[in-house]
Amino acid sequence: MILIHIALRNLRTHKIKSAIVGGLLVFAAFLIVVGLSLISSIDTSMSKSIVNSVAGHIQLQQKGAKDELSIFGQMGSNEIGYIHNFAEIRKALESLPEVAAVVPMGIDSSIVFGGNVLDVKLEALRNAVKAGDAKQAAVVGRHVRRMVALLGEELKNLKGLTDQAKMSDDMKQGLLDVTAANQPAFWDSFDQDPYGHMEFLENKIAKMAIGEDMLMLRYVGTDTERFRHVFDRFEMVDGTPIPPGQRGFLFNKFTYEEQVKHKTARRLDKIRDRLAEGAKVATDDEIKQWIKLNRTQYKEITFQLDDVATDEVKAALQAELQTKEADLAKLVDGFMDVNDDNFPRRYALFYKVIAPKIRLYGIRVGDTMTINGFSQSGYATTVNVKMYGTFRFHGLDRSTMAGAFNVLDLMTYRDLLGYMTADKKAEIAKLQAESGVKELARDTAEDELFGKGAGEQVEDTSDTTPAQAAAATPTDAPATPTPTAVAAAAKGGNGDGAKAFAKDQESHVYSQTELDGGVIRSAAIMLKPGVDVKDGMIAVNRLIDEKKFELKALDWRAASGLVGNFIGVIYAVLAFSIFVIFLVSLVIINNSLVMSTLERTREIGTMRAIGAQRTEILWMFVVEAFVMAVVFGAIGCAIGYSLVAYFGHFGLLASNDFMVFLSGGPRFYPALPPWGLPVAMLAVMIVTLISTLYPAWLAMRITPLAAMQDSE
Amino acid sequence: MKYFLTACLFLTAAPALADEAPAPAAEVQPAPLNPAEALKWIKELDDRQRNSGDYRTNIYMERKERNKNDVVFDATVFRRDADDKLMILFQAPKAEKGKGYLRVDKNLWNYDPTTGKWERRTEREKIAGTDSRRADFDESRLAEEYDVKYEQPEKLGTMWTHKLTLTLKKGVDAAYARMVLWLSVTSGNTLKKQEFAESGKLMRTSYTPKWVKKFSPSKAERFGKEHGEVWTPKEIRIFDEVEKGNSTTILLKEQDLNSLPANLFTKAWLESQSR
Repeated sequence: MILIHIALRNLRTHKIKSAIVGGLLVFAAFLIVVGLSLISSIDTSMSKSIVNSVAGHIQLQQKGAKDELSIFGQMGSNEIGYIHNFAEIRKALESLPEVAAVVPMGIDSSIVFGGNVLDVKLEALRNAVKAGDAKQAAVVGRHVRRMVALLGEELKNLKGLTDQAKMSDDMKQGLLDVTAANQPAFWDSFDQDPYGHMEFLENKIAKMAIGEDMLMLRYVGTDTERFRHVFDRFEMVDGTPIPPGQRGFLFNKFTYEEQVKHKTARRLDKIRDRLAEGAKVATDDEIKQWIKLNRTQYKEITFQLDDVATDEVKAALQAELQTKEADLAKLVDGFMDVNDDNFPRRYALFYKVIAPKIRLYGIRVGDTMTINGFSQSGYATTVNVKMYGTFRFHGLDRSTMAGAFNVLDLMTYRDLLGYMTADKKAEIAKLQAESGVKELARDTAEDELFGKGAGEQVEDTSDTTPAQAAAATPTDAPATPTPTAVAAAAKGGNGDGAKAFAKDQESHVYSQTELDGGVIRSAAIMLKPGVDVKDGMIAVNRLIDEKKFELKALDWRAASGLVGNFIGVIYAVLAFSIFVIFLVSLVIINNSLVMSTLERTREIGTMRAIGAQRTEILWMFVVEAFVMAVVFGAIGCAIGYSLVAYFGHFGLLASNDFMVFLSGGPRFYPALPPWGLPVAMLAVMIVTLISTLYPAWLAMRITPLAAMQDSE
Repeated sequence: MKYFLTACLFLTAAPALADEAPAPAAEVQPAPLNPAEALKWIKELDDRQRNSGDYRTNIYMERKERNKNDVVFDATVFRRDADDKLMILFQAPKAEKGKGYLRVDKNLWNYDPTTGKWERRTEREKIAGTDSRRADFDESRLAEEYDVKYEQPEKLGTMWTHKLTLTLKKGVDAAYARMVLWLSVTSGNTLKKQEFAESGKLMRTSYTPKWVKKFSPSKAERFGKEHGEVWTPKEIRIFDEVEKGNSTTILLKEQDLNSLPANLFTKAWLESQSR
């Protein structure tokens, strides 16, 4: 007890030393408490983001595959292998008491070409003509005619601005073609030869219209019904879920808004959001850029309006701008020149008057979209799939990472995957054998082709006219196929062509056996509530070994790739920071105590003179350090805990998309794990005690004689 | 009758014999070309490959990609050079049958019968995902599209060649900004070609070791019988210089210079092939 009194007295006596050492200990304890809270909370919320959106607690992939599964790691396909016997695997896994559900999946990326606005309209015209729908063809035809007229006006203005001598021949020809397409005679004769006219418009005119859009889509190919029930963050926003067993595509709302929405409308949305955050048009460079783009890219609106819509929009814009200007382009330009005052009114007007008349989303709910992918087999694959609606992962609306995942049905996914079946392999091997092509290595190709004994090979048949060649062909030899024969061969009337390949797919309802029966790339395992991931991994791995499945299990962190590793990076950064702080503390505390020991030589010598043993001196220092650690550690822990409790209650706004993902929602709520305070106190005590060892050793060596000499 | 059969046999066998005959390699280093001569060589290269009538050939394409399955195609290429039209109609494998490309003027369209969609593609389109480009199958327009600079005589294996650098003219859209050609001194054909991106990065190296010389009735009719020759490659080996280890081999077989149906180069015709 007396040692504690002495320790407290010493702390009071050496105020500066106590303040320096105490400050460091407070800071260290604070850092540990806050750091542990951050790591623990990020780990928890990120696990919610990842586990409950796409990964599940555990992912399965083919054992021995070249690449490890990386859900967030990379775009496009990688060599993660294939799982063939999913039905059997699912049945076995779902019999485990730890496992709630197993979801088949595969993650891939594909391209959707939007076509330029005129291409899209001409495609609609072609479809109407092909279908013999004269009424629809007339409606679309009028719109196309208006678009060509607008293009003509546009090019006329350009012609006025451009030096004719510097204009390329292509441009000059383009102007002539657009002029021709704007002649009444062209449209008067349209019905006589619609295909010829459309070929002219498609090849000569459309290329001069606005450039085409291209969407890069990342999607999870999965059993959509199972997916939406197992991943509880999934919730529909627009449209309907894909009907069970049917083909279909669901856009993530984030992707849908960012990539599919009309660009002008999207920019207006962004301006609205930014202004709502308190920004001002005059001072925000990004808003200024969006306004500039909306003004210069007025064609995104004017091209999409037919005659009736044009008149209505003109009237609305003239009223808003209080002008009699008749040029729609100038009206749109003026309308888009927004400021802080008129923006709310114009934003509302845009959505009331203009938005219903334009294609607000390039792909709408119920549309059939064409997805282009490069399959694992290497062949380009293209599929048509119906877009049923949009969804979001609850709380992750603003997250770019979670928002990039769209959902595609498993059967379409398999088509895009283009898995090389034994039949396909055999067909390719046959074609290769028939070709007789000899493989050449890159390094030796030149020598093999042009080296010694080789050289250019020339087949000269120029003395033989085609007629002679035909006459010389033996009657029993296969004749050179004529175009007609080629055409006949390509007709594919026997149902084995690419068209037959896609036949009946759209309306077919697939059974669970069909869904589970085909090849997949990975599978997500969702554990039952309360089951620890480590326990789940042990159970799953045990089953994999027992059943001899060719599978590898990865916990959600490992399966997440770079994102999963992020938590490790945070740990490392925090650990390093704490290490540095403790190292500095150790040195400073040690120096302070050494100084303090030297100052107290007389006191320690006197204590030794009146009978204090060396061990008592040692204990005096240890207790002093302990008291410092407890007092200042507790203060640091209290400050840290208060801060964590405050933000744990009110939340911390996630400042960007990535923070939304890490936080598992728009706000981050840190929480201190139960072991956080004891760990912080223990760490502070250990460091303080280590810092005390050397000064205590010095103090133990002080003799009464030395103390007396010191005083003299 | 006997003479007729002998003649038939000769006419049938002659091309086969010629097929294996290597062109005589030039053993003496040629004199360098001056700029006018270099341009003349390129113009001649274009002219001799140009056919004023129609052209059709069956092709076999094989793409090899490191650590991936080989991808092969049988297709037919149709050309009408007078109208700048080109069409590639895929025949095999089964799942690719009926797919195609159609070039009309500067538009390159891709058609897929499984979706019934036409999509506009660029000059940089990798034909069916291989290392080939549209220009590999189309009429040669080098003098029209590129500025020519002579480098020096250079040996390619055991053969002497003229090495030339071609730089894309302003305003012309092509897959590559620059190319280096090695032209056979004896035949004038392109034996080796290296193509570069605008940044200067080497993108592809291709070899054309086999050529065929055909008689074109339409060309002979237009320019005289002595100018009725059309040269077309028989084999092209393309090596991807960006993704090392990837390559594409193209065999061009059964070239035919007869007239093709008038309505062939239309979307409607290509669509009808898979109907």
